[in-house]
Amino acid sequence: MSAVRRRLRSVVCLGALVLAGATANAQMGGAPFGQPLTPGWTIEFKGGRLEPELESFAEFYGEKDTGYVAGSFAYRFKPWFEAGAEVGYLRDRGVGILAEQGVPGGGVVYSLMPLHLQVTMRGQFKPDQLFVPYFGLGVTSAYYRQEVELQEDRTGWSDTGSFGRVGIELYLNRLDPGAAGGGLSDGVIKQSYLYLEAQRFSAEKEGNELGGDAIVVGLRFTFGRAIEQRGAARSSAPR
Amino acid sequence: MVVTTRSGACCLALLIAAQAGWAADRRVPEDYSTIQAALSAAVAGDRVIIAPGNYSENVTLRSNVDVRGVETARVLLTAASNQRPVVTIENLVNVLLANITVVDANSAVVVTGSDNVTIANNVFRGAADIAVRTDLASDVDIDNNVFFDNDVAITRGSADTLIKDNIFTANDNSISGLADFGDNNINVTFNCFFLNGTSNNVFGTNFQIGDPQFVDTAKSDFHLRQGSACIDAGSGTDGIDGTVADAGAYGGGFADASPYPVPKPVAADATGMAGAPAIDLTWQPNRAYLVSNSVTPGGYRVYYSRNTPGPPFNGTDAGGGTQASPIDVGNVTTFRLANLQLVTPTSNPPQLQSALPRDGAIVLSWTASNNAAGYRVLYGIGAVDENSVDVAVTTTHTVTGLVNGTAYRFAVLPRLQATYHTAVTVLDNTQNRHESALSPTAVLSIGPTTDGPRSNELVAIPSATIPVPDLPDEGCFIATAAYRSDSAAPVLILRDFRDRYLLTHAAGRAFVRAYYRVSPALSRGLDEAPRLRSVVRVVLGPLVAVALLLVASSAAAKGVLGVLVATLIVLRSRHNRSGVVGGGS
Repeated sequence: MSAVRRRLRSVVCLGALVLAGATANAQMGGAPFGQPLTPGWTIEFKGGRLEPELESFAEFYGEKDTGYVAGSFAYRFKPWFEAGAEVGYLRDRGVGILAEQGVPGGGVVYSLMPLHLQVTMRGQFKPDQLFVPYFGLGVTSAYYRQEVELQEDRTGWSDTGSFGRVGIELYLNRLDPGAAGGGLSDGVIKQSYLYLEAQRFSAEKEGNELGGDAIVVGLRFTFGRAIEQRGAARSSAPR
Repeated sequence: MVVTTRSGACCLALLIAAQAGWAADRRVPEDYSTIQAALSAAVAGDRVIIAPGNYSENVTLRSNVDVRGVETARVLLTAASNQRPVVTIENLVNVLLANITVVDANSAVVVTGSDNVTIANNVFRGAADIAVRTDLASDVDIDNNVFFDNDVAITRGSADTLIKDNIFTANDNSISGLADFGDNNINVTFNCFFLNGTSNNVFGTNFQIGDPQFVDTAKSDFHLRQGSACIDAGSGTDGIDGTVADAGAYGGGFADASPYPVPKPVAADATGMAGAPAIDLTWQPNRAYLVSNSVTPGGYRVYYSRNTPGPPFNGTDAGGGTQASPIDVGNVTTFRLANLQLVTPTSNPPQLQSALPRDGAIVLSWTASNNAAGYRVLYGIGAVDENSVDVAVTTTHTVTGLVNGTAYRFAVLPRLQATYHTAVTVLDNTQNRHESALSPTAVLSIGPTTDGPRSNELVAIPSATIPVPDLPDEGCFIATAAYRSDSAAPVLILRDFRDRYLLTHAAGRAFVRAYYRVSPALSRGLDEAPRLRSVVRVVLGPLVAVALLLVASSAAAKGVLGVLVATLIVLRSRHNRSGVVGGGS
């Protein structure tokens, strides 16, 4: 089992624990904070390390994992359900295999841009919940580009594969309501989250697996309008 | 008691002697990397001497230590932090700050509580606030400086600040006083004013008003041209030419006498014109009036050496051996080193270090050889000298056009040619013939080329690189899918158009990137819908035709085509207009 997979399992366990805690917190009816939002958009920016599934990646690109950044947007139908897309990017410089000699040689710059279409389930039971666990599933296709020294570039798209992610968000408005909300209670950004996420995606091309496992941290911003509440604070737990 | 007194006197004498003996020139950057480091190490009586260069510092001067640049125009000092003055003189005595150009400071020099301070022969350019400020308690002489394009040139706290023999040009304000001192005329004399504020902003006595005609303010060359209103406008005597002192940074006793050096000369092989080995040197003139004077001009001096970089420039072979370096060439800006006696230099063999396989190519790298005017790369299958290619002075080259899987032998040798290193200096017209620093060196190799000693041989086999992972290139997606072949003529034309017209600028590259993102999905659609291929081929037809015209036609043909298209557009436009008029009548 790879180190990334071990980390992935740890994050899943952590997520399950927090989900349990959050559920308990929701049942206890913690102090009201914030307001539920109308359906709306969210955007995320994230970065971290990705360990490609490719065999011998470390041999040809120096390390078993590489830097990875991504951005996504989604439409939030419910506080606990949203659908959207994510685009990632990695680029690494290494060597290929010399065809005549069968040894490493020749410079190669490998770029990959996976495109994920996904739905996400979030364990949000009240608007002011401090920790929000979530997981998402979807489909993937990855655009690749290989710049080989003194040779034509190779570009193309992978076959359609699968995508999954799991993570936990920290609700920043609880920590610093003015700054995390952009100080714009009537403005566009309503909620800000910091999150830790594990991803796995699979995207094959002619027998080569281009996907891998990633650990990323990111920021999530939600947009929308606050729902006016009548009388006492109402629970916004999923129905 | 007597012994004690004698010992004390002895120690004092030793101390004074030591101080006198240790007084030294502390040179920046030869001895100290920064001006402040030299100042910190200095003792009373020392001088800090600053070589030409760009310095970014805020310096604090010390009592009894002079700070001088070697050349006013080429010692450029800027602030490391604009929160503080570039030069601070606080509670000091006996200080000289001279021959420095302070550029783009907020506040260039601030003097407080100091006595016997001289600020002389500097240039203050572009101060956003005050170039030089003195307070009520200070006794300062501000002599023979240039104040150019500052907000305020000088603000002083009392008449104990003497302002003499300076040039004030293009400042918002030339001279002002601190709150309790508003007399801007007392102890202001023999200065030269031009275009300060809305008028000339003139103060004091014995002043001149007129264009100083600086040589080149952009290069910080504030020497005066012939006809300048500030020549002989100062008081006292010039240290440079012994006449009545000029106002500005190149007048008076502390002026640096070096003319501004000329830029790098241009060296050209004149062997064909001269009928014998010769080099023509051409350089930009120095416009300072002590060099370009129409009655008594200065001149130039040409330095050269053969096969050895200078300095020293110790060539002896020009003029058939009669014109040893340096040559005084008079007031000209071109000179021919004629009848050179060419000697090919000797060299050491390069070491061929690596031969790395690439697709149909080998990347070679080697160590440099002495005196190489270039290199010859030898390669072959049976023998190393079957083929050769000449390359410039470099230590790496990629041999292309090779066959993958075939073993090639490689070697490198230096190409040797007589090489001349040349430079020019400026001489002024004074009795002392002050000489500028050397210009940058121009290098030229001329005459027959010979082979130097050959390197070791290396054998290498060209090979394609298979990237990891080994992914297919889906290429020019839509066109390939439409024409069913990656090597169809229209595909090749479009690919050539992409490489020559789209990938040569940012907008084109962005378009290509966007195309490669969307086209694979479209090409997959074409694969699955053969009937659509005909439609796409029809759509692509005009694009292919335009691309063919652009990539395959000559410039003249493109020009003729452009004229034809323009003519057609004009005729069409006139036709449309006449149709409208006709329809209305």
